[in-house]
Amino acid sequence: MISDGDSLTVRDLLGVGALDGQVLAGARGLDTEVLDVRLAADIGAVEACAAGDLVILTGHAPYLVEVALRRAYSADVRAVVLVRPTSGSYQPPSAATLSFANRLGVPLVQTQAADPLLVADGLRTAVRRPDVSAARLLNAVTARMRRGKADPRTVLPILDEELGVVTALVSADGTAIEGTTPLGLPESVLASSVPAVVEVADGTAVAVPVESDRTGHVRLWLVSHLRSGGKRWVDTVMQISQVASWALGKWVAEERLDVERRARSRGSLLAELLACGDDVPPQLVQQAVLAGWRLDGWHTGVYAVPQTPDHRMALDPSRTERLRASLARRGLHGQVVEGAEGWSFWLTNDAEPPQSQHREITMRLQQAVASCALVAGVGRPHPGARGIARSLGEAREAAAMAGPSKVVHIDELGVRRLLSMAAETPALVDQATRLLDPLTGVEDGQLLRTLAVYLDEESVTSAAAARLGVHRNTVSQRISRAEQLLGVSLLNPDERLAVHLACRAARATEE
Amino acid sequence: MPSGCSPHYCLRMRLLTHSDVDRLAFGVIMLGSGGGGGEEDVHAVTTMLRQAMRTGGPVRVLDAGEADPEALGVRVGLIGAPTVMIEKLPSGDEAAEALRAVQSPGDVPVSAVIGWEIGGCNGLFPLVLAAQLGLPYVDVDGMGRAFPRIDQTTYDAAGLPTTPLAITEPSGNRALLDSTGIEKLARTVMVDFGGWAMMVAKPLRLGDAVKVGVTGSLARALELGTVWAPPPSDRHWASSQEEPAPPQVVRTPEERAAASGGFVVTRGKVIEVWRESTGGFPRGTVAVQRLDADDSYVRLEMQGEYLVALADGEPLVTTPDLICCLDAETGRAIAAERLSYGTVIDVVAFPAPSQWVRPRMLGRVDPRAFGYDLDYVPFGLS
Amino acid sequence: MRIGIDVGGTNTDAVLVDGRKVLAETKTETTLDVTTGIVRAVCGLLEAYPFHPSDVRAVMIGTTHFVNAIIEGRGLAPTAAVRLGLPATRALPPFVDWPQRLRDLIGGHAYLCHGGHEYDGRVISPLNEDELRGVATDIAGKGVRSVAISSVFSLVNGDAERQAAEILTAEVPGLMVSFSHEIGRIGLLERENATIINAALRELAEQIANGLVASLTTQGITAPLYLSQNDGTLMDLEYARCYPVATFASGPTNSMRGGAFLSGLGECAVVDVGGTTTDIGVLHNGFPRESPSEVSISGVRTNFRMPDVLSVALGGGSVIGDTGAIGPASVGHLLSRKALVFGGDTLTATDVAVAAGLADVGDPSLVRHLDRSFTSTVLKQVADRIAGIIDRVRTSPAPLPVVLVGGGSILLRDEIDGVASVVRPEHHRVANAIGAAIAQVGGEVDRVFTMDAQRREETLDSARQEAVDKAVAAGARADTVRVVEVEEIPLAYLPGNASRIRARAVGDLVFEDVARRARA
Repeated sequence: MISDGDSLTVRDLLGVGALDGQVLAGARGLDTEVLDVRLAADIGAVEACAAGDLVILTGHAPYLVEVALRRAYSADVRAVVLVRPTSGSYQPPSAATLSFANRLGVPLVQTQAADPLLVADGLRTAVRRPDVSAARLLNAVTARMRRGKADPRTVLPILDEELGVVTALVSADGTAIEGTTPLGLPESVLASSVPAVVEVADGTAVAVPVESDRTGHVRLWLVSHLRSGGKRWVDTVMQISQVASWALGKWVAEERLDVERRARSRGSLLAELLACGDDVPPQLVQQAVLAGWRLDGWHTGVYAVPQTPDHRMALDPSRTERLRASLARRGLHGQVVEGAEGWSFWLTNDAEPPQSQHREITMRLQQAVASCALVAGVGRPHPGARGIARSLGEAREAAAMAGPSKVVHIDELGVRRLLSMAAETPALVDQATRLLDPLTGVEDGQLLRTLAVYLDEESVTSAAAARLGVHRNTVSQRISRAEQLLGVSLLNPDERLAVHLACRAARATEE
Repeated sequence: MPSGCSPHYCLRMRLLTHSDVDRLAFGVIMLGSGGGGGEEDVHAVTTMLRQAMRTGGPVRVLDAGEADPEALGVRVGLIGAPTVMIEKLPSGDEAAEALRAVQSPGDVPVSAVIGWEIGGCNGLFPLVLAAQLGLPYVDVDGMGRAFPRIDQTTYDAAGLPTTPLAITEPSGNRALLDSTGIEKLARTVMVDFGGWAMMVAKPLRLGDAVKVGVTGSLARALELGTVWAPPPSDRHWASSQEEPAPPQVVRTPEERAAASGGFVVTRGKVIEVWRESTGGFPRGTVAVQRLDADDSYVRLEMQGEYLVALADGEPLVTTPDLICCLDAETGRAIAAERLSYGTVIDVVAFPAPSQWVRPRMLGRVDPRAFGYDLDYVPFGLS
Repeated sequence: MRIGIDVGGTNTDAVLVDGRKVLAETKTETTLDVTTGIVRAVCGLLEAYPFHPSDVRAVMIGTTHFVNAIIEGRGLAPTAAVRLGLPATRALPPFVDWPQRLRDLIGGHAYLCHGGHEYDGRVISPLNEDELRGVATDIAGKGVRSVAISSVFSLVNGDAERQAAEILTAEVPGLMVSFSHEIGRIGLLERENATIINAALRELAEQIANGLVASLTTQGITAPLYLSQNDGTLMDLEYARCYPVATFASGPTNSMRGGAFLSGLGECAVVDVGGTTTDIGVLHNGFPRESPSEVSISGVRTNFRMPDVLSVALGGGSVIGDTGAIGPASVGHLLSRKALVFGGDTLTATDVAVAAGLADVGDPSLVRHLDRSFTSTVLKQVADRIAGIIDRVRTSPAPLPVVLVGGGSILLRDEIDGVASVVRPEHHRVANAIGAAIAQVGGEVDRVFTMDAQRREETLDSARQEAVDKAVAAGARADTVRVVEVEEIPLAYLPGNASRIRARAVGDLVFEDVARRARA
């Protein structure tokens, strides 16, 4: 059997639409390459065929078809095409004929045309000048895309119909936003950033990037599934896919603009994302991708709220922009989504980030949020679309505990939580009241507040002074006085812990 | 065959009697290659022959070599649908009437009847006429089998005249055709005459007929009938209270074929039958699933007759060679127009008379003459 | 519940059936008058399974009585054949191919008259009333009581036959008329023959029908009575009075269908071993294949549809020769007197089966002297002959299950050469009565249609519909009717694409509303 990697197979010809027909039998032979096309008006013409030919038979009498199949098989002809006239009598091949074709493995294809010559002409061009037919096909695809909206719902069916492939618009996490992802598509294809041709379960897949972010990460892929194909055909599909991908890329950009114009929708989008748990529906993925969000990879969520309660009512888009800019300045690129009470933000890594990353992030965040008079919580990194929700949930929890330290990581929350739980124990509260009794009412409560802030700030005088808005000497004096009144030394770890707990408990009862 | 007579098929002058009729009938059906009328149709003519022999006595059959070359022989045949003939039965006078039409009172009277088409009903009509007129039958015909067209005879191929041609029907109507291209005209008349008619062509010099005709065909029919005719039906409502016949020595189709110069193409079950009729000419194709090979088919292409047998796209037997389909169960020959789905049949092939298998003759009767895009495959070559 | 009765040449079998369940079965000897045997059979059922006669909703009877009457030449009425077709058809007058004996028995009066049609409906010649009146006078003078009227292409147009009948009956009151267009198929001689046979049986049919009604009435059974037809469907009694010929092959058909029903197999071969003969047929969809060729009845060729059943002279009563040769002679219904095991003097196949331990009937000690190698040789011969026939009727290489029925099936072991599986269903001894009890109602069309190539499907559909309508008109429940066969045969060498189309439909019998129905 002649193998010419550059030739189209029978299946390709059906796919290209050069042969608009129905395979009646002999499907086993569909993947053989066609080198030439012959129109046979009689058996003699069938006998003159050479290996690699495809034969178009103008007659359709059962005996004639069977003789043609037999000769085709002996001469290594690649397919026998029957032309059903648009009018007049036609006898479709009978079960015996089909069974014979199946036994021989010679594809028997039936097409409908007014004139077999036209069929032959189209096929001949496709076979002898595949470039011409590829160009024709490209023309056909672009002409159809021009006529319609360039959205996936329009573009994908055009590709499916014109190329005879199955296409899908796939996000980097493998979700098919439109169409069906071919089975067995390797993840590595979607993780890369260049077009790829890979073998999949039932044929070949051609993947072309549609849209990527500034890092070169591809967020959206156009994947075409060919049931099989020679190299020439795969190339054709690749070229046409690329043209289609540009159109789809343009559509993504337009949609994103639209989404940004409707900033509030981002909030609800996030809310939906958070609400849907582990199963993220494809249309949500599509919206997220259109919003420019990256869903694949490892996400680290951040939740920021205003430092002081009186600012909480004042969330406005300008502050969102300020936060985004502030984060970007510190190398934190991610999505900032404003909510009713605060801002959600997440960073995405291609792979699971090392433990050390969170210190790095916390540090940069501290600088960023401080400049915006915000405090924030940070979640652990989690993978995938649902990872965003999980990490943000943790961030929210952490943010609620953010006190003077401005940025709280969920992992730190364990200690703080222990502390706050202890502070709520009645026995402890009782004990604390008595312990702190000497300070009650002293200096209008100034002494007690200063003591609590000082201990919270890890006995750093300057930090306490900054939080309280007084001079650090004032803090030192007040601490000395409190030590005297209480009769304890804060240098003693046990006593410091006891006093700190008492302060917490007292604050808890106040609240 | 220089003398027109092979030793095998040669008959010395003999009398055809009642006891020969059944074998002969089966033989002419087989020579019909599925056409010319099936068993049901031939039965009517057989009955006419018995009637005629009852009054006219046995028919004398002359071997071709015994005939007086200078004497005139008349040929007679039915044109039209045998299926219609068995409903609108003959009056019996049609042939004699037609003969009167082609012979003027002053002409030399015919002294023998010759065959036109040995296959099917027309293999017997000349014998009926011979019995009615008390003339001998000279064992020669123009086809050696059955063909649908008037010009598909070795007589016509040799340039012997077919006109004037008289056509008659049971009600006494008659037409005398004397033109070229009588085929279409004759059929038009036949249709108007009610679907079948009897025709008699201008008598031939027996010397000419014997020289170009297919000789010994009646003997061949008797031979085939002797080898292939099944015993009388053993269906029990038919057998009445007589003792059923003792089981015969059953010969296999292969043995019978070997004994009669043919071969068995296949035994198989009819799994597809497709027929159409355009302009009154039937055309059809049948797929026979071989019982001797898995998933393999024999295709029979038929018009009035079985014309081509192909196995898996390879032509095996082609016209003018003969194809017979016999019910595998009863051994009866099945006409092309009666072959039906589900029947298990033996497809058997026999060689055409040698007269046809010559370059200048084949064009008249090979597959292409019937519109098939196939060449004649010499008998037994594939 | 229903009662199915099969009146065979030897035995009268009866079953009481409720739905698919067999409640009782009985076997009695057939009596010469038929009806006494039926009364005994019904009594047998009552004994085996007491039921109230009014619970019986239908009685189906299969009988070979009519075909036996033709074969034996008894009870036949003086009959005339009147054919309309002159000047055509003279070459082959009515009775032309009949055996002289049978022709003499029924008088053999043949009349050729003017009339008939061409295939396309044109008239061959108009009816000549004077001519027909002359025939009537002649008929009356010869004491003919039943007449068969045939006309050329009466399946295209039956008017000529009907008009001729009016003229004849006006002249000869009480003359029974059988029409060829209601009986046979295309092929004038064969159709006419079937019509003549029918005409000859009309008086007998009248007697039997009356006898059947009377015998059931004495049992208190007033349910409608049906007779089985050749194709395994039913006809009501009024129809049976007019068309006794339609019962001819109901015996083998019923045992084939009964065997298939009992075994639950739709595709199988049924082997019915009786006393004298063994019937073997292949079933498709539970119906026997139809015989593709003309059927000769007692030497008369006819062309009505018969089941394709092969018959061999081999049965429980087959006489065994000293050398071990089987039959073809049989002691028939005298088995219970002549066989050795019953104290008789004739060695029969049954004796051999008993000696070999295959059956336990009569007195085994009376055959103890039979040599073991002798018995096994005989039984092997029996099995081989039947295996050979099964192989002949097989229509595909696929294994075909074989159902054994009939009293004589004791001759066969459960292994048959070349047969994948052998089924011997319960109640197999009365399979023929069961076949009668389960019979359905059918409708058939067989006509020449002129078809336009473009409207071929339409024409076929209308033929199918006509068959369905006929089945419903004959008493089938509309929702159960299905078309079981459609056949199209284009007629050669004729213009206008004339085709003969045959369609057949069957459905279950309606039990309610069993009042008189018009037969299509």
